[in-house]
Amino acid sequence: MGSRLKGLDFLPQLNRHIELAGVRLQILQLVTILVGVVLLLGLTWFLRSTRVGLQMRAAAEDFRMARVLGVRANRVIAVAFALSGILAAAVSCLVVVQTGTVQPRMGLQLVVIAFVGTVIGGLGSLTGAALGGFLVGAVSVILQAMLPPELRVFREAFVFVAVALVLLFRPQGLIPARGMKERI
Amino acid sequence: MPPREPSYSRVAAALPWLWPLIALALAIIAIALLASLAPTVLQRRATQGLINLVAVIGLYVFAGNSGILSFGNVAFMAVGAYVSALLTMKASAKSVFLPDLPAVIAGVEWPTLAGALAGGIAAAALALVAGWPLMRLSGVSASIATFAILVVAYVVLGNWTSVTGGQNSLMGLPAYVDLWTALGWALAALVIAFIYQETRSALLLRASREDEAAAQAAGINVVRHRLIAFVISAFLSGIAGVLLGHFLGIVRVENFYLDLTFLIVAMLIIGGKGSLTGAVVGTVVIAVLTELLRQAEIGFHAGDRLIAAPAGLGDVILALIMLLIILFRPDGIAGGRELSLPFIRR
Repeated sequence: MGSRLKGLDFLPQLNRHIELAGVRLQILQLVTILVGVVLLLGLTWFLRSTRVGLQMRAAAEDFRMARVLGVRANRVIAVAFALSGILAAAVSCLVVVQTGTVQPRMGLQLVVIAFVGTVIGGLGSLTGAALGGFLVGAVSVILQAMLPPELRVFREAFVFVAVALVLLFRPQGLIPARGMKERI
Repeated sequence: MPPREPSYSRVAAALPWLWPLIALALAIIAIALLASLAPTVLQRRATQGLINLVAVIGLYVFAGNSGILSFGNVAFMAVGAYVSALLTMKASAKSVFLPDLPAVIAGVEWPTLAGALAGGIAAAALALVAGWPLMRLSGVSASIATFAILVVAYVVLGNWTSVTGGQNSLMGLPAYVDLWTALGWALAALVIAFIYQETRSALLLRASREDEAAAQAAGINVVRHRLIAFVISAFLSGIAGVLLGHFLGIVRVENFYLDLTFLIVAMLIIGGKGSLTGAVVGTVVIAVLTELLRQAEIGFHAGDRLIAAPAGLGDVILALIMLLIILFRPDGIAGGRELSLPFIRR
């Protein structure tokens, strides 16, 4: 198929709708929220309560110091990379159900949003990343709903102007991680 | 009173200092001369390579001296391309492709050089306006802010249909850029970048690249020097965009987005973003590798049989090679150094 779109019907039962307290909801949306919450809780538990998670946070804060104290920092970073791969896979399943297509470049747009979200949330803090991602998404949706139709095509421009403004007022992100600012 | 030194010794004294510029210029000229002997297809590839070189040098002026990677320079290329296209297109072509164009622009038909300079200046002006608030950011925040410039420019240019043609391609601009035009501008970019990096402002900026807090403590106005670099960088990027537009004879906003950004950034990082030599080396290495791998994909005839690499393998190998270079030389091929005169230790 090369780089063309390939359509597929992945987990079709998620695309059905249910009535919940008088609101018609797509099951997928509920599942997405649920998966998001579960992964967030799982990741928090992993980072807070496991040995590797603790080492990971140590390596993120001060790579050299962590190594000096006996953390196998390279391995820990590799685990972090693998972990982000697992999370990305979970996201991609949900995206494929929603769009019904796969394509080699389908993740690009999402990664851009994710990257921006982490930075404005505050690199090195999970709460910050979650908040940042949520804010970028929320602002996009609100703009989509509020903007007059002739300006709607410029939505992404407004989002990114907002991102630049957030950075100007909080260069370290909304919730800066402790110890990320270099001490002098 | 000692006798005046003969002037040739002053030239000799300046030689080690000017050597990186001279050597790089000679190398580029040699490549262009070689390419001019090659078939047309290869000549066009070389022209494209020289245009990329202008863009990489443009990015280097900011990223190399300030230490902040900019993802926004392709936005300046887009602005340059559109401004120059609108100013140099035939009025008749404009009335066909852009019927809603404001009358001020609809009638003008500037000469190509004036159009190119206007494109560069427009890009520089945008950098001045956008950079004035953004240059106080550092590190990843600054990179994301420049990325925001890219997205905003992409969305605006892609949807401002009355002026840019929006999602449609802008056609009918004079395709005047050939190997020699591109060579001329590449040399000009080289000279501008070299002169800039020898100025006091660039030196102060590089000090802030090494240690921002120390530079500020020493009284350096980091924001101002970053802004100066950003504006010069945007001018060169704007010129690169002008060249690309008039080389292809068509301006599409899609051509000025992530793909080109990644290419330009990869070229600079592979070469080594700490030096002008790195910018040139990275561009040449990637351009040559890409071309070789493309040839491998097209294949060659051995007797009656066509031996060709499977399509797409070229990109994979290119990515692998880039990975290896970065793994073994994290500071790029040039490693932040400029060329020095052979046999002479400075």
